[in-house]
Amino acid sequence: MSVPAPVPGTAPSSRRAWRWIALLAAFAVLFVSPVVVLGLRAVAARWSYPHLLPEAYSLRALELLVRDGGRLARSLVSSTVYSSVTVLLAFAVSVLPASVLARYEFRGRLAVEALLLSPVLVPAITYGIGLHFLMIRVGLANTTAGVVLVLTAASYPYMLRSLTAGFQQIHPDFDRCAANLGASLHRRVLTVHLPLLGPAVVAGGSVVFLVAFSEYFLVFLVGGGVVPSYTGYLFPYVSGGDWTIGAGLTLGFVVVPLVLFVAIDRTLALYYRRRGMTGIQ
Amino acid sequence: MSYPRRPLPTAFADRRRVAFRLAPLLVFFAMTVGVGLVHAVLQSLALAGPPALDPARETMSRWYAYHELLTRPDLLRSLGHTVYVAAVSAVGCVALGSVGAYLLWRAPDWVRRAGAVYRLPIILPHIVVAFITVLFWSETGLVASLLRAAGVVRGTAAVPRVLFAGHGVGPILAYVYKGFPFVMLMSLGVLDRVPERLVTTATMLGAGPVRVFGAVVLPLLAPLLNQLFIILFLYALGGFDIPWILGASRPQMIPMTVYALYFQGSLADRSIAMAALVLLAATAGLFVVVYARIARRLSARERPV
Repeated sequence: MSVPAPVPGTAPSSRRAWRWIALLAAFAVLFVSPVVVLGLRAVAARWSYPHLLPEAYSLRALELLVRDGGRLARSLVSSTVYSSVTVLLAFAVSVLPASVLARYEFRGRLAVEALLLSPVLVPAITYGIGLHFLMIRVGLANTTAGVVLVLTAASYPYMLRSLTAGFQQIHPDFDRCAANLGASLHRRVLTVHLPLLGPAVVAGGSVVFLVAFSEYFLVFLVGGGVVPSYTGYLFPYVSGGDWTIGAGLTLGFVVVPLVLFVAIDRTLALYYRRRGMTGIQ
Repeated sequence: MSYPRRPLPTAFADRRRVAFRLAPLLVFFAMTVGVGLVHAVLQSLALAGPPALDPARETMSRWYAYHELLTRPDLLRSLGHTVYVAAVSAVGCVALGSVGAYLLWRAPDWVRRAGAVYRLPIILPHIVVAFITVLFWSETGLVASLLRAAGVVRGTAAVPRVLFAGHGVGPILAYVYKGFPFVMLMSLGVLDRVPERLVTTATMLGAGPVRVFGAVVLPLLAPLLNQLFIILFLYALGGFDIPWILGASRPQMIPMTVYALYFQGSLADRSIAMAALVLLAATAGLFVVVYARIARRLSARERPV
């Protein structure tokens, strides 16, 4: 965090600058200190009350990679896979309804929209336990497919909302022009709709991925401990088992989404620049 | 900008096509959320689920589960405690989040850029936020160490117990920390479209920063804050991950109670667990309906900024 010095010689604005520095200091305490503490905790061999810094350091958290690396990697891969499939499924079920909800006004539109967005508001546990019971019956419990289904049910509204907003920003004439020029539906979807929807897909997809990747309870319930997950792997450590390892694993939750979002952002920017599409949205 | 919706096409074939586009998601919704809820309702009335092995259950009333839920003191206390934790958390998120957004919105660019770290808790999973809360606020946590180093308290006995004391401070701290940056993010999205001249005018008319917040910013944010309050309130009402780590055992948060009754209790307890879930879903449904009403009224007289 670089903080430029306030311009000297401007008395009122330098007093104001101090106020902003105070605000940033508060932010540092609130949002930077937890990461620092997690980082220290991850390399602390002993850190007990009332010491303000660890008493001894160790790389025990790293040894976990050697000792249990296979299980850790499996849980990470599994979480990434079911979260990615959840994004794809959420997109698949939301894209056509979003186009309708964005373009047409009809009686009951608000009711349909409220119903379809309701999984964001109705706590997942209310339908999760009943759904789990039925999944046992049809053999979906303890499978990755079951986990994807329940995660999609809980998170698709973010995709739907984002795509609806995206469709609303596309001028209907774009589609008509392309159709007049003889483009088939297939071609229009690929060359007109999807590129214009890009940002909305990325926004919705990022939220869905994050929700799926971070979820503990639903995966624990439907996956039944058989489907490996990063949150499930982490849980015993943070709930009292071993704070050093818990803190180390937790840092993964800060790094993975950051890397992912920066990568997506860069790729998209590159893609749009190549196609000369900057400035349309 | 967004383009206005047009009326449905009148030709029957076109209308059918529109219906076909909505159908897959409606079916998906019904097959997941729908059947899950219906099963909860049926099992709460002992109409589905495993047959009760307890013969006494056969002679009980259909409404046994609801009756227990609303008359047993420990369950009632759980319900009340959960509503209290959820309400305080949601109010805290909205209050801190809107003020935080206002401060960042008024801040110069360099503050805004450095201040972007506020987004951290948004990407953290709930169980991680709960873990951070434990690291800082437990009796032997970092805050206690800091207080002792500053000479405010001496010895462990003097440190006030913050977590697991039964007054819900642990879950509230975690929910507020996780939620208020989200409110900031959404509020900044609205505020960034508000023209500077509104604030300039108010300032020229003599309004200070506090007055500008109350008279200009809050009314503009109100519809969004109402929405966010409902989302955060309902999440905290039914969230499992945070109470699983931070919840006291007495009084218990409802999701914990449900879990214990369903997976560790007797078969008759299962119907009580389901009744609690039905009540939770009904509360949420009521909020959705009330909210849809409010949203329609608001969008009818949406004011241009």
